[in-house]
Amino acid sequence: MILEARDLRQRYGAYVALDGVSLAIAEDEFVSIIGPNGAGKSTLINVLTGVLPPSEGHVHFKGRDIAGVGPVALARLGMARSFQLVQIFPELTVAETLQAAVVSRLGRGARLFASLRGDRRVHAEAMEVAELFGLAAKAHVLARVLPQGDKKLLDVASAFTLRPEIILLDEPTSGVSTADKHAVMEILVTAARRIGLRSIIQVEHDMDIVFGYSDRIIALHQGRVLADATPAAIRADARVVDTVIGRGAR
Amino acid sequence: MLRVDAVDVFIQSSHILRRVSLEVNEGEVVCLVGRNGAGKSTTLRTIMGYLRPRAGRIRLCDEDIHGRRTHEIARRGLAFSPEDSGIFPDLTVAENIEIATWTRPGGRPAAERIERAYTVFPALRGYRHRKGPEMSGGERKMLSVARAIALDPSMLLLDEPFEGLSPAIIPAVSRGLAEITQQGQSILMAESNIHHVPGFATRLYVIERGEIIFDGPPAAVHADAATMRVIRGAA
Amino acid sequence: MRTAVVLGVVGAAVVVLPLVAPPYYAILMLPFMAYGVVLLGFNLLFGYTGLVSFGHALFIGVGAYTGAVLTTRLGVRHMELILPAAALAAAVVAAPVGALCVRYVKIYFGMLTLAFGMVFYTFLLKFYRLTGGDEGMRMLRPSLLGSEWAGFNKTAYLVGPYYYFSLAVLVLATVVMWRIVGSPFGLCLRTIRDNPLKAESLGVSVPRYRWSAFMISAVYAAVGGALLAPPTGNVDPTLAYWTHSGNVVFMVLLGGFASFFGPLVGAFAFIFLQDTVMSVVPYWRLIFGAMLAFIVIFAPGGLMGLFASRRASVEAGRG
Repeated sequence: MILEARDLRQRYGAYVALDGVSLAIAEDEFVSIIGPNGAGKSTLINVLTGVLPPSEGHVHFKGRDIAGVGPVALARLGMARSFQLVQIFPELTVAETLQAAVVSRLGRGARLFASLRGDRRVHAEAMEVAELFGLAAKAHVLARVLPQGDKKLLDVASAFTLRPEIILLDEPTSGVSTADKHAVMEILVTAARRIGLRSIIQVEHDMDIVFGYSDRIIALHQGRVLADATPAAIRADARVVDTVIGRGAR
Repeated sequence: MLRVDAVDVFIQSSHILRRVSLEVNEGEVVCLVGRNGAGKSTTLRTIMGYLRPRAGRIRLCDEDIHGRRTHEIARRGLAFSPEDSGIFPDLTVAENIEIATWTRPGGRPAAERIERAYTVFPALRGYRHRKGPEMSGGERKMLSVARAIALDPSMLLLDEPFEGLSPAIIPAVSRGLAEITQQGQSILMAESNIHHVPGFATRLYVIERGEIIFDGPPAAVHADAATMRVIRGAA
Repeated sequence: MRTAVVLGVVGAAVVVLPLVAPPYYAILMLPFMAYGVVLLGFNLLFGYTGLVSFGHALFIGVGAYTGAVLTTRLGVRHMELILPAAALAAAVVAAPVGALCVRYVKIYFGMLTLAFGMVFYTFLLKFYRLTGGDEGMRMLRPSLLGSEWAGFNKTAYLVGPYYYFSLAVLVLATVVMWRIVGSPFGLCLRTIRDNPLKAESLGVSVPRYRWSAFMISAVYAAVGGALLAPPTGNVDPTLAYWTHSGNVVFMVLLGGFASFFGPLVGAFAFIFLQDTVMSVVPYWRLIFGAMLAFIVIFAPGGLMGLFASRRASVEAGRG
């Protein structure tokens, strides 16, 4: 088990966002977390990525307790994430954004007098990821003028650049047009294989994507795990269909 | 009611919209469908006055609104819900909705407008006292559209209204929006996901690379193979 | 390419200035060069890391007083020792001050740095036995490259050896800063400026980088401060007063914080404008206040911003 959570409880004052959530992610698994709005999905991601220490419960990554350890430490341990509300560096180009991730991964951030321009390895790795994600043509475009979907891709691409062992994607295809959704997922899965990423966890609303790619689905409702099973079992689970998937789904 | 006439929009010398024309009449539900970066958000933002067209006209009820300030356009009856929701994070859900009744007085009484907003999004009733940082992306999106409804507009401009919403509630939200149009209000929505386009949509405009490449009722769009290829991407 | 040509022309002009212009103007260039060094460091913190310090005069004061103390109390006259000593003194002060301040952002960072600046000012004022109080201390003429330049009178020394020494320090400081901003470290600073949340998720430790930028900017400010003192031969507490910090911020806004050379342009414009305005009218602060308002409203990118947009519209017109 690469990532394990036990009896997570998260309170914001009187409001209970997570009410006893336990889960375990194995290596080489693709797990989707689904649930109605406000079910606690983003809170769960924040706890799993060490951003939020849980009010109660434990989170372990590769056997280490990571509660509230913070994103910087987790990045070094091998976990990366992308954000629901897309996060980019507005004044940096696509290439610079990816280079920053490479610099961080290679531990070259302390090099004050080395020339970034002359660092061929950083440039090569950044362009490699840019090509994997179809952003190579826009390498020198400022992140803030990119269309929303490209910003999303850049957010995910930069997380991939860290070559993590596990990545958590918070709604990776939201805001991505129908035409591009599957293309984006194919890019993610191909890139994952290429960089040796072992496990992927995603929060997603698009059931096509969820059922098309997941090994396992965890359904959250009102801060608790409603179901944790294979796609086939989930599809047959009436409670999940009623609360999360909806009857009109294809 | 709303006529966009051959509008050209540039963003920092990039030609983003090329002679875009569309119209929305009373009670209609019009969808602007297109891929990433096609120009949907730019179109809505130009109508709302965040961007000035370099050429072309935008008329609302026979009055030119291009070049006007955004708040004046809102006062004239266009309510905008942006793609990133744009809710006020320091205000509660109830305050976000209520503020829309102060900035555009007249028309229906405030209590009725607030009630209509909650009718389309009953889930919001449950967390009226929650603030921005405690809400998920989908909840923020619902609030953004609810707030636009509370403005009591003649037309709603919704940028990806179903984005981030759980598929279980999308049909109900869709129905709620349909009811609003039955009372004479119209909707112009931008959608990148063809499956989210409501079944009761009057007309679709398909935009690609800043140009309208097709317009017509949903059936006509679905029947046009070339356009569907653009929307769906290569099979 | 363009930049190289402009730099070449400007560089040549600066080098020949003392030989062709009246000494008054050469002497006026000295504070420009000193502030140039200060501002290069300040903009690393402001333009590249996104932190506005309203207390940088603290470090200018540290540098200036280091020079005064070394020459008058400790008998050290070599400028080549004074500058590193000023840098070290600044580092010693900046380490704890920075560690505290960088945990806060925006207005709180500004307020904290302002507070520390004023604490130092008060220290300089009150501990008059050590610092000379409000009269300040003298700084004796430092020796440059081992020579006292005894045959030179004050003016000849300033427009000759001291001018070229300061210029060399400015050029060196510029080259070093150019390397820093073009380094992997510089890239990480910009990620923190743009989006600290995302930077952290990529493994960039925000407080640590901010602290490093703070240290570097403090060292630069002290070196500039040490260069500021010899022309007047005197240092006093107003060097650390908060309005002096305000002048630094003003210079950066005037020149443009989004470009590497903006701060140097700002320092130059400020020094020469101040001189011109002061000689014409006694109310120079009124004029400068109006200028600041003008800049904020019409030219938030500063002078460099104006050049950039003019060039863009020319190119767009051609294209």
